[in-house]
Amino acid sequence: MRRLLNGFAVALICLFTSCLSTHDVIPVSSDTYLVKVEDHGGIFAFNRGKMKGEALKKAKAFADSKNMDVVPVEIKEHPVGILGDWASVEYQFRLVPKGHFKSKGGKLKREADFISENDYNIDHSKPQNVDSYDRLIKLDDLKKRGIISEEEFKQEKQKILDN
Amino acid sequence: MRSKIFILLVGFCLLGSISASINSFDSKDFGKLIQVSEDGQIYDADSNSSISQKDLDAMFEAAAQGIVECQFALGAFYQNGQFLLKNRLEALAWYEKAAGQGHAESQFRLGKIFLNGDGVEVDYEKARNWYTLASKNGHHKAKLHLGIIYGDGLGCDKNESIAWNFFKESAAGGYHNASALVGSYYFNGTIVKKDFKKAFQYFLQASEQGNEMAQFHLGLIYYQGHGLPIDYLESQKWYLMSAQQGFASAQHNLGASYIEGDYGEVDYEKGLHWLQQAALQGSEIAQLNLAAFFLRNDTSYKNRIESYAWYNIAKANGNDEAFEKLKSIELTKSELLKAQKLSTERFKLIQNNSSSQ
Repeated sequence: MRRLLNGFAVALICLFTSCLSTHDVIPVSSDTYLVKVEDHGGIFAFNRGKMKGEALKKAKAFADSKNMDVVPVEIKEHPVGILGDWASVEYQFRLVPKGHFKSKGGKLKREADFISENDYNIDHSKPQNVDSYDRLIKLDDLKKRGIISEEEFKQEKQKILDN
Repeated sequence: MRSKIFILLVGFCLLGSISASINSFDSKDFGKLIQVSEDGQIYDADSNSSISQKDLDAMFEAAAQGIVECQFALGAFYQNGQFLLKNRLEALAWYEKAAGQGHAESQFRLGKIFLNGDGVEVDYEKARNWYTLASKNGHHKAKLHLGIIYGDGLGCDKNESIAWNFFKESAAGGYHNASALVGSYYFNGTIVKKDFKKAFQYFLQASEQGNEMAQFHLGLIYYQGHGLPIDYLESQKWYLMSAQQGFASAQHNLGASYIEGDYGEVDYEKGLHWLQQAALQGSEIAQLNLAAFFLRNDTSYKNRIESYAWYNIAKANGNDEAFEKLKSIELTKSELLKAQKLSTERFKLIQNNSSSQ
């Protein structure tokens, strides 16, 4: 019985102790990267600020190692899900050369200040605060640099045949 | 009198031989400057006058006697309804006569008529045969068309290596559409190994001849680098040229770059202008990005109705992402009605735009 109690205590301690785990920096496109921080502390220890801070630090360190500056692209938060689905923060950022105009002054903040969808299940019966900081969107890199799709290329060829 | 007819006759015969690209010749001997434009419009450059019945009669006579240029010119008159009432069968008959004598432009036009089913049943085999003859006579447009036919397997087995040879030959002949296409294949690496340097060369060649797809790609290469130094301003220059010619992808990328401040300063006005142009041409990316832009908090342009309207259009085109986003935009009933009206109007406009192209 005593052993059982001990075990329970250990489990409780684990539950209340925040243990952040940071994944490696993953390249998304040529100059854009993603870092994910998970909070294995479970429901009681879910700490957004800490996770965000960790993600930002990790990105900064990564940029420093490459002698570049960070320009935020998007921050996504995932709250704790059902069993085993840890709370997490995903931070997407771009690397620009040090001193690049985008990384200077107020621009930094503005870049990141987009509205976004996230993975919350939205209850549509209640009014939503769409402006909330939690939802960030932006013209992401891949979309911005739209290339010609297979379909568009076909159309171009058709145009040539018609002319 | 006889000599006057003869002079006119020779004049029109020569005019027939000018064929495709805008050519002009100072016909001192004939006292006239005659032009044939790319779409086959034939006119007197000096006076833009019509021709007299007598001139026409002379042409018919010459054509009947087998003067190939006159046969071609009559074919063109009938096809375009210029000087003569439009008549596809007559056009076909005269083109065939000229083509039978090895007239490349007539052979090319016959190929096109059968490829597009212009007044006849679509017949890929006939199209291919005419194009092949025209190609052998050095017709660069025909080479490109033939390349596309083989490359896409239109009415024949797909054969990309034959296609590629035709593309290259046509581009070597200086046809800008071929250069742009060859550049695209080098850029995408689909039927040939990726080679950005070669792509760049071909795009440059075509861009200087005003090719909008090539200009877009030059803009893209300068933007992304691809082994060449990144140069946003050079990118902007080419995007702008392409966008002004109505190339939707260039309009989108240009607009997005203005909004992101790639050219030094953020310029939402210009950015929105170009994104809207692209979106109204049916560019889905532009529609999604516009919608996202109108939800941004950091600009004075925030407008949930606009955002809803653009997402709604993208959704109508079957975009799942837009469908998800729509659910999260909260609007009052009157706002919703407004947004829906806006999207209906624009959707119609977009459909008209794409059908008139």
